[in-house]
Amino acid sequence: MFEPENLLLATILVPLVGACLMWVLAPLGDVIVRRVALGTTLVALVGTWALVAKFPKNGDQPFAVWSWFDASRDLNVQFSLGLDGLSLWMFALSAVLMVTSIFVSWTAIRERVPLFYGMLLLLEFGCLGVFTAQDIILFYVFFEFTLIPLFFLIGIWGSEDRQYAAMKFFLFTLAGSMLTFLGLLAIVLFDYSRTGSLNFSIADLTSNQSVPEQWQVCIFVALFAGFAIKVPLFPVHTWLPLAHVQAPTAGSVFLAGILLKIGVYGFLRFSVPLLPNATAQCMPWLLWLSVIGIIYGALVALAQSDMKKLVAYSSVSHLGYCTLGLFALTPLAVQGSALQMINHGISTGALFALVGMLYERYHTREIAQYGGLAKRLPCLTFFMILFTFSSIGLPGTNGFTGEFLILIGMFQRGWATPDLLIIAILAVSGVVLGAWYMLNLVRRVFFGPLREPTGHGHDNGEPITDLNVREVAALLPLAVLVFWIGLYPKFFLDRMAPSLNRVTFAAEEEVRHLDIQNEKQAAAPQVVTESLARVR
Amino acid sequence: MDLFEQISRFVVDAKGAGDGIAANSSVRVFLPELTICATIVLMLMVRIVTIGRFHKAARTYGGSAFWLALLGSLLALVLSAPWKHLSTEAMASPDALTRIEIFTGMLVYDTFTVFIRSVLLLFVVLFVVFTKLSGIPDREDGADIYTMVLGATLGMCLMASANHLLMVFMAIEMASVPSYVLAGLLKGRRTSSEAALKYSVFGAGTAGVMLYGISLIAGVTNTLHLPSLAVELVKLDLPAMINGGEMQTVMVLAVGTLMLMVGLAFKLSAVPFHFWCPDVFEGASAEVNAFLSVASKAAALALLVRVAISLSAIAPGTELPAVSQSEEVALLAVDDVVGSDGDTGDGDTGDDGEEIPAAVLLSKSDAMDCLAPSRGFLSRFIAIMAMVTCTFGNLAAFGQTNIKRLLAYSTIAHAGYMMMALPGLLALAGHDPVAAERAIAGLGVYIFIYLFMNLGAFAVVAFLRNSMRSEEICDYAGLIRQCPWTVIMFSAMLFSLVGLPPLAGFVGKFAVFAGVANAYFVTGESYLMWILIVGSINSAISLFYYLRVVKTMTMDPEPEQRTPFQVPVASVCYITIVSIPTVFLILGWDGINKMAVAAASHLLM
Repeated sequence: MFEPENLLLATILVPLVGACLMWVLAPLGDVIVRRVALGTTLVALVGTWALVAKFPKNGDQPFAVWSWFDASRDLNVQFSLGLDGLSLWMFALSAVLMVTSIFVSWTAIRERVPLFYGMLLLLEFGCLGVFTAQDIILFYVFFEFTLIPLFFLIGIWGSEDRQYAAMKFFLFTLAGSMLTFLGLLAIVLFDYSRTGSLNFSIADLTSNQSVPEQWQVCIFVALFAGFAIKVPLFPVHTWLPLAHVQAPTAGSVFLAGILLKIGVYGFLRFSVPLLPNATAQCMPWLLWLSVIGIIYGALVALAQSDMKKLVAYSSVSHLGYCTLGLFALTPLAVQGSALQMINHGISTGALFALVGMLYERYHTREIAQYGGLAKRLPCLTFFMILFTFSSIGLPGTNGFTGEFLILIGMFQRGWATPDLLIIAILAVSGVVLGAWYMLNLVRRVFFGPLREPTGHGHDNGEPITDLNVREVAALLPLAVLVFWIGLYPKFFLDRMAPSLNRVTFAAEEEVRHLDIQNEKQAAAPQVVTESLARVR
Repeated sequence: MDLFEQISRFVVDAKGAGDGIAANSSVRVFLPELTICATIVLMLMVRIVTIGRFHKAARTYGGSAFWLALLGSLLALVLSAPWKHLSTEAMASPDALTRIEIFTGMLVYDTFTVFIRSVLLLFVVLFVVFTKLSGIPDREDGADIYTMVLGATLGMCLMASANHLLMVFMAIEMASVPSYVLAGLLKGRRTSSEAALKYSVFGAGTAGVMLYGISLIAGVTNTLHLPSLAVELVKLDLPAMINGGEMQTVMVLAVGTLMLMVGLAFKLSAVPFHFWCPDVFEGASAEVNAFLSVASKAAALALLVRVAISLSAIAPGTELPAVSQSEEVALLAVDDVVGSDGDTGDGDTGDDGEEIPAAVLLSKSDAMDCLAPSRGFLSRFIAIMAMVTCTFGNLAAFGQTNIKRLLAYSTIAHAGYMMMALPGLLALAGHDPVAAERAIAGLGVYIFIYLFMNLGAFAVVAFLRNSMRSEEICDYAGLIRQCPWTVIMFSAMLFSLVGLPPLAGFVGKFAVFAGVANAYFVTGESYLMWILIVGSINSAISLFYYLRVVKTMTMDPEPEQRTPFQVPVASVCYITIVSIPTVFLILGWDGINKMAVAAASHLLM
């Protein structure tokens, strides 16, 4: 019964069952619906962390593989799920953040409550599926499936401009992922033409490595289109701030925490291991895009007057670090990048939740309208400062370990390839900018003379109160994770590192080859002149 | 050959050699169509004769025509028996259905016929129930409608099994003429009459052009029999003609083919012969739209597959012309083949080789090489038409405010997607027949899925029209508060039309695109790559207008003056049943995929 395989399948299906329950229980009233939704997510949470506890240390093969039935034997598309070091933590984090999301929407959502929680649970189902799919088609199915609930979450329960935001979000992501689909299809067909059997299993495709070198860049670009929009990387990030600002708090928390990581996860799962040659060739470009994203996101965040927008742009900046570490292709940087995926999910998810809590009290997100709230809301201020520190990477918090590893790894890369050293230096400046805009936000909102916004419909006699138990419960697990990762990252890294090394090994080798070739080319004229001199 | 001999030949052909209805009888495999014919006749008779209590009872339960049509189409579906001919066991058994020509070669009966015919009949069964629920047969002209629908279905079944260019023309006309009448079904309304008039004028024009094309092809090749067409083209030796600069014949052939395609493009509503489609769809009732968009398209695609294969590949079991060094022998051999063309089937080819050593039959692969120019031409032509159709349909759908018009453009776009399977087939036919048949299997899967998506979408439109008397998208605002389940099903249908996983539309697109992608990797022709790119970009842009409808229904505020209404429970049940395949097919599309592979397995090999 509690074999890991069964537990895995059960954990993934729990949110789906919960979503169906929402619909059945709708007539019983919102209170019961909320409680059942919370119960469902807690069960899923227990399931995911039980799997984490059973995950073998230093295991690099997919663990807890569930292959139920061949969805189509003739085409060999399989319904197979599994967990490995790449997906384990994102899988676990999805369940944690969903609990937070449910807590923060407890009183904020008053309309069509059953539908809202149903959509949230469907979203969780999709995300758990994305991170565990071991079949390329199954992955794509879950990948696209996550769009539908989020579209409704933004479009129905968002702020004023929600419909435009929902459409833009959907169109951007879908346009990219169509090309991604073509790329994935191409990989499968190259494998087919080499091995003679249609194979959709990600593990087999990775070990076969059958994409010819001259095609790799082409397919890489196709995959890049979808994943880069999802991350989002610099030139295609425009949907993100809009979607974040318009989404309900729970939507923002989950979007920032989990959905954006699907892009990075896609790079890590498909682009890097399946197309190592193209990854090595495109590396400088990708690093430049990432670092532009870091600096651009930080600078734009500095100029924001809306709190939620500021956090949204900080996401662009932080995800730049994730891709920077990933494409630096040194073991340390890749580990840092995978850790930063979790870190950003925790800190930004919590920041969005906090902004949502503030908005629920004062009905405005304008930074200029606030001031000195530390006296009024000490508990909220405490959490805000805690997660700000985590976000800017103060030593002892999780942000530090992630960014530190990424930057060290990036400098290693810069050492090996001096052209890229400038990127490493620019990336460090991003850390400074990050501290600047976040601390600026905290200073203006929470310190100085007390200034509370007026005239936004909140002053109907009810006094403004500090965080209640429910809100603390939403944030506390995240706070624990902040220190856990910050103080003992080994627990997390041990379980990721073998899988990460396996996945990026081929690409790292390619980079080394490329470097050697370049050196030879650079050295060639020198050798000729030397030999000429010797002849004389 | 005198008249009596001719007649006795027909009799033997129809009832088979042997006593009673023998195994090789044409009539036996034609039973589903005959059932439809009998149903039509019965429906007309029942109106004249009153059969006492039965008639009364039938009237109380919704008209005898409805029951007759339902029973007739169900019986035809049972007789068509796809589960018997297309299952894995049946395909493996020694007496499996392969490919036989019936009625002296006018029609062909193979697994593809069975598949398409079954899809059509399944659709008609569902459609008859749908019309009952949406209330059409309650009117006095209910019987007329079913007569027209079944008549058109008969024509479509013939389209799926046509094996002769005259039959192609006849079948298209037989499917079209009842459709013209159906388009004008709403008699009191001007738009409906306008739709019918436009449809028939357009249809007549394209039919004329197609007939001219057929006569040009017949003039060059001396045959109208589809498998013989390819043989005649091999004899003409197109590569040599093109290299030798003899372009007149080639040009005549090309023009003939293009004109023939005009007729097919009209049925497919492919650009630039799509102009009738939005107007007809807007004017005709949603029920008729469902019929035109699904059945008519499925049949037209099947016919397109047949015609394309006949012009560019050797059908299985066809006798090939002989080749030799000396011309005289070659001519003799050619005469031989022409003489023995009448009786198809078992050709004992080895015998005459001993007498004239030089006259060996052309090998199939050489014959296929000879047809490479016509394959390349057709493949590129259909590819361009598919891309333009798809893009135009999607772009034109953006500005629509009427749901039926929007869905009309959506069906145009979907015709484009489905046509994209053809270039894959044609490009692969010369290299890898198995893979080429897989490409057609992809089309089969798409057609099956498309049936449910589009029928469901139009059913929702019709039921909503009955409940709220409107077909404007803006009137759907906030409908989710009024009838949540219907809106959820409709949204699933629309998302499926986009091709968004995990809904069935994704499976269909996946199957078709996989065929094209495979063709690209095998042949390396760049236009196939373009198909893929255009196809995927189109999927993305099509999202916008489908999503707009979903958005209107779920997110926009409800208009205040709306009177509350309810969609009848039976209608909701119907929509639910139709949407089950759309939602759950992803869990097990093995079955339909296997059936489609079986269906395509005797087209080329």
